Amino acid sequence: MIKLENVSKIYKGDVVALRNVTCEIQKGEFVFLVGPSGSGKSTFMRLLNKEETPDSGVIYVAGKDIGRLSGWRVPFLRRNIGCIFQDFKLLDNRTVAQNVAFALEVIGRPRHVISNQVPAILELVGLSPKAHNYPEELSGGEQQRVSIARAFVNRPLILLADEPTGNLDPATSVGIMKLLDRINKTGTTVVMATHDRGIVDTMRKRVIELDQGNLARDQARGVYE
Amino acid sequence: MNFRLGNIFREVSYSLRRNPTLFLGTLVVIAISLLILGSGLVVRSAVENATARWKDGVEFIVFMNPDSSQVEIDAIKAKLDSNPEIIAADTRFVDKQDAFIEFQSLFQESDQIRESVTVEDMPPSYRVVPRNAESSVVEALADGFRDEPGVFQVVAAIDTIRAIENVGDNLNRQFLILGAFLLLAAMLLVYNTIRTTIFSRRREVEVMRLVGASNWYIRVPFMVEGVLQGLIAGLLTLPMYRVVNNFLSSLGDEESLNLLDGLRAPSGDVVTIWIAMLLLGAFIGAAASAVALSRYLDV
Repeated sequence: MIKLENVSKIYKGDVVALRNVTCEIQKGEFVFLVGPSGSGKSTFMRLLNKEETPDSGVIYVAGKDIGRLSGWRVPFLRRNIGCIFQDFKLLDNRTVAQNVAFALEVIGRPRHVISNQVPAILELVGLSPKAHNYPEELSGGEQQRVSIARAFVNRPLILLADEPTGNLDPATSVGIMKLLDRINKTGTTVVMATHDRGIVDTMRKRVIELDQGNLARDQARGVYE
Repeated sequence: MNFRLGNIFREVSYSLRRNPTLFLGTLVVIAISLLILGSGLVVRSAVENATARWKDGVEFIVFMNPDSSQVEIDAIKAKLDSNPEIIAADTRFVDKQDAFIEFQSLFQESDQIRESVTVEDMPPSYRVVPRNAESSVVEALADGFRDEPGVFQVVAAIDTIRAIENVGDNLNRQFLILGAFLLLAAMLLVYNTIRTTIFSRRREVEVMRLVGASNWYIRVPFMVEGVLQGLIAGLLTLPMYRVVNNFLSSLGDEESLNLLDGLRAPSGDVVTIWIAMLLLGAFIGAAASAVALSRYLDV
């Protein structure tokens, strides 16, 4: 599903984000990306949906070399990759349902598809009763659920989660992780960058550790350290 | 491209509600610049209309009586052709029919005047091009035709008419220069409006990119906003051109010599100028948005 071959990314001022990283993630896998701040986790994620381009190396997503993808096809790549962030990135002027519908509207899904899929996904994340609330009326955990609903409503092949529990208390984080696990069980590949030792140690999924841009460890059913 | 018109207009109207003063201010500047530029063209059209008879080197006109005979008309032609001071090849005969058409065009805004004359009422005339356009020479030549049989009147292109042309040209040039500068200011304002809009909608843009909206889907609402400003500004200028035109023709009414008769752009020209300004407004809106988008919208 995802394959990196000797991928390097160096920012201005010789800041090495990734150095010669090679790894492969299979369809339906759940992978934790761990490492200290500045180790290259976010760059790893941003390279996958082509928000960044590598300085060298090749990245394959769903069998395609995304480095060869022309600019106008990038949106089509992103439709197959859902993204979740620590700060949720919800639109304050739209309700929960509208936030989720927005993701379908902007890629031109027909209205009847939107009106079917949005309630279904809100049901999945347990937010049906709050469909008409605005983000500011929700707790952090609920906001992250909206963000997950928005990322998953288009049934992407891959879900990238960049510290999704970073702003949440431990109990709420467990709920979010259960949700991501359920999504993973539908066949969606999940790649999650995290600092949360407890979650990684509890879930015992594959762990890829980055250290100063180098791939330091790649361990099946691993722990944080 | 997955466009849904409703979505685009919802985005645009949301953006306008968020920043109405900037939108309005920009719109007014575009309107003023288009108005000045367009007024220059209205003045030019009006001057051309008023001085149409005096184009191509014509320095004096020999008007025949409307009931003059063919013999009298031919006699004048023979006299014109035999005068070495006159370029016979460039000298033109305007018959009753052509004179009628010219009259209709000159006074096309005034139904009353146009309807008061028929083809038969119109005097045929010779538009004379002398070799030397100096006023004293022209006057002397013109005098030679005043007392010929069948001649109704000889009118020379006196200095005033040339002065009108000069004033018209100068005014036109100044309007164009001023209009061009203001247009530049308008473009910078549109550019900044779009830049501000992009900034205020950066979260939406970010989300749109992440969920895979096409580049054009993201860009179009911003472009529409810029074009809309130009179009609305262009629309607003139409009544103003009419005001400018009315003012020009009011100058003519006060002139006892009627030298400024017909100093009015034909309606067709005003509409053409307006459409051109409308398109120019839309173009500057689109162009300035496109530049702002290419610089500030990372898609």
